[in-house]
Amino acid sequence: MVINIRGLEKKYKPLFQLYLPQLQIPSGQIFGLVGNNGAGKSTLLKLVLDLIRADKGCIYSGNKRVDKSEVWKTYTGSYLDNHSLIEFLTPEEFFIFIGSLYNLSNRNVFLRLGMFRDFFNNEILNQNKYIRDLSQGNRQKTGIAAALMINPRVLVLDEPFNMLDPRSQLILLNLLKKYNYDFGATILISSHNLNHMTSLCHRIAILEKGSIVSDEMTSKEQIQEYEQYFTN
Amino acid sequence: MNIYKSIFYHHWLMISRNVSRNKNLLNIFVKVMNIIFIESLIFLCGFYFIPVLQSVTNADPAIILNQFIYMILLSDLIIRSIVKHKIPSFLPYLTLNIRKKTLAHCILLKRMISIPNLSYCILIVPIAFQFFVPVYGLLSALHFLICMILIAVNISILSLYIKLLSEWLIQLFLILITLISLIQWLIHPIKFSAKPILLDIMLSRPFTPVILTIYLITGILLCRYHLKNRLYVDSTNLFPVYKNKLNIKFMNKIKSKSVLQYLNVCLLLRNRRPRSLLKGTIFLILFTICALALFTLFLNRRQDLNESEPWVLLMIFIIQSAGFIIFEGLFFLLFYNPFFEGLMTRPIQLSTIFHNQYYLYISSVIILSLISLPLLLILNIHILTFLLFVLYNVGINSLVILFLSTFNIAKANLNKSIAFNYEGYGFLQYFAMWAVIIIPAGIYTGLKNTLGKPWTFTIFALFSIAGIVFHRNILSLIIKRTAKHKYRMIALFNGNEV
Repeated sequence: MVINIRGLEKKYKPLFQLYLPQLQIPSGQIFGLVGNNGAGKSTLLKLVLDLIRADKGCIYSGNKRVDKSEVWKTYTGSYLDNHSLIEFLTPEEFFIFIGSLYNLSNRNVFLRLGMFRDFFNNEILNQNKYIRDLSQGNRQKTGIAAALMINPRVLVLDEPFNMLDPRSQLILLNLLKKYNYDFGATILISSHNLNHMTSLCHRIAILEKGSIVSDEMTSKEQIQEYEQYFTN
Repeated sequence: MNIYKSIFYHHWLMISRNVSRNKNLLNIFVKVMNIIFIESLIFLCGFYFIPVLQSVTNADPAIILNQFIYMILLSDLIIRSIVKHKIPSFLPYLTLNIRKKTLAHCILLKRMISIPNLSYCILIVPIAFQFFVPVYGLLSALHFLICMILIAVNISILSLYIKLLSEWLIQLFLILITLISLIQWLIHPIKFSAKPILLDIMLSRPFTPVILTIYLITGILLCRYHLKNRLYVDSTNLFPVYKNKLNIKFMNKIKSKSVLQYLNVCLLLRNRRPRSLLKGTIFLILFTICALALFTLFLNRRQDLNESEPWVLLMIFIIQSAGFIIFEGLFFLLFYNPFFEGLMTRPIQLSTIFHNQYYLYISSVIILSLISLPLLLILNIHILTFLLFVLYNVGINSLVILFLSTFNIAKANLNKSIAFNYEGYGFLQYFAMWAVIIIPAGIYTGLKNTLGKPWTFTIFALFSIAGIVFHRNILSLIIKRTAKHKYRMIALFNGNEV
């Protein structure tokens, strides 16, 4: 599913302005966003998910504008932060709830959750705990699994590696690679972890104060360039 | 002493800096207004009833006053045990060089110098001087005053102790005691043969304040012991909470066809804030049932009631069937706010959410009216008017409340210990709560006085039926409004200024 951004502007008082005149993410591409804190990564992802309104310009998911049509919701999975979770449900109840929104039977939900067995590390399911009682990392795992479980054609993840332990980070990295390979999904991902981003993404853009200052296909040498850029 | 001052100052900062200063000043205003309004209503109604009761029963006013004070103290204990007070977050202090005993003292002090206790003093002083000085003399009046204030502080400590032990079981016990005493009262409406023991003790026994102080110290020591044992980082709250496993097993047994209804049930039962509003609703409905019983049996004025339909009675009718939607419904989108972003990125239409909510409201109105109906049939007062207001609540009020809920734009923590946690509770919710009760009763009375009862019935019924028939159209307007304000709501729910 192609994502097209045209003439996008979003201002926040008094100084911040996100400005993206043209950006296209082809179908099946893993597109990474890196940048310092406050560069506008989360704002861009929220705009893609129609959670904030753009001042100018528009975003197309497929051939539909995300702020005019809600069709994109049927094929988009996302996890931004804890606001994507319903914290007073147990993880099982949450997965069943999400599954029912995508017409998945309970059996199918748990079948699909099978692929996250290693990722969950026996800490999510059958714990008799509400999501709010899970640790930050396990909450994040629940949100990411709920986003992936529905087999979305577009996946939006905001800093998915942040709260995870090193083992879970590697498992997630492989999961995302495999998912992209198997389903050809378009993935938008933001992170501060340059190693993971260069290993995972086909293309990486650097956001700086609301504008893209670099947008290149990934290569092994790039990690040194990025490190140099952020050091300077 | 400096530690105490700092902790209380931090508590004030927590209130004043929570979202924005102005909003919190409004919240504090609403809180103070609510407490003063409710307490003065109880006191004034009580003292207004004393001469009325005397004219009906020819009983000694001292005995009536004695019963009244007894009722006030019992209801105060129940209200304080049900209602929760904000306690300053103690977690940041646990790793500092502050003893747990000091923190427990802070919590107890905050409890004793609370707004209800202060308003108690404000209300009881003029009453003591007005009623007791002319009859019993200044010394007795002062004695009464000291006793009442000590009892108020004792009640606040006792209610804290009740909550520290077990929130639900003891509250249930208190409600049962009240119901039993009310039933007894209803069977024998005015049994004033006893002496005014309570008043007698408070007016003439010099050792009463000493005994009350001993009680207070014992209560404080018990509470301090329990508080010290609860002050650990891993305790999410000072008060015992639901056992998760029980709740999860219970919910697993409920197999709801609609996932949204299941979500709503979980929302109500598993979060402190909606749960305490639900408890408040149950309490209010019990209260209105008692008020109805008072109207008919206690005052023995059924004949008058059948002719006059007082305004208060109409308001009671509205609350009895619409209690749930008024107290829960006004906060419907506020309760959705912690996961509103998540819902908005899923393939779930706003219309589904609103229709679902509308059907929940009308079912609650019907269920509550069915519960109230047997009592009304026994009392035999204005059944038709009650049914008319049930129809009105289904047709108009449920839609009005759904519309008003779209004005929920503040950030709120669902599981924060609450009632009187006024996050997301502004002027609109405060006035809307009263408006949806008072305005229909006022319009009904106005129309009845000008056009007569049959026309009033016809107009109300027609409007209500129109509301039911056109509910889809009205709901679509409400949904359009919500869709238009979606971005603003998301931003404000996240605590951002817009």
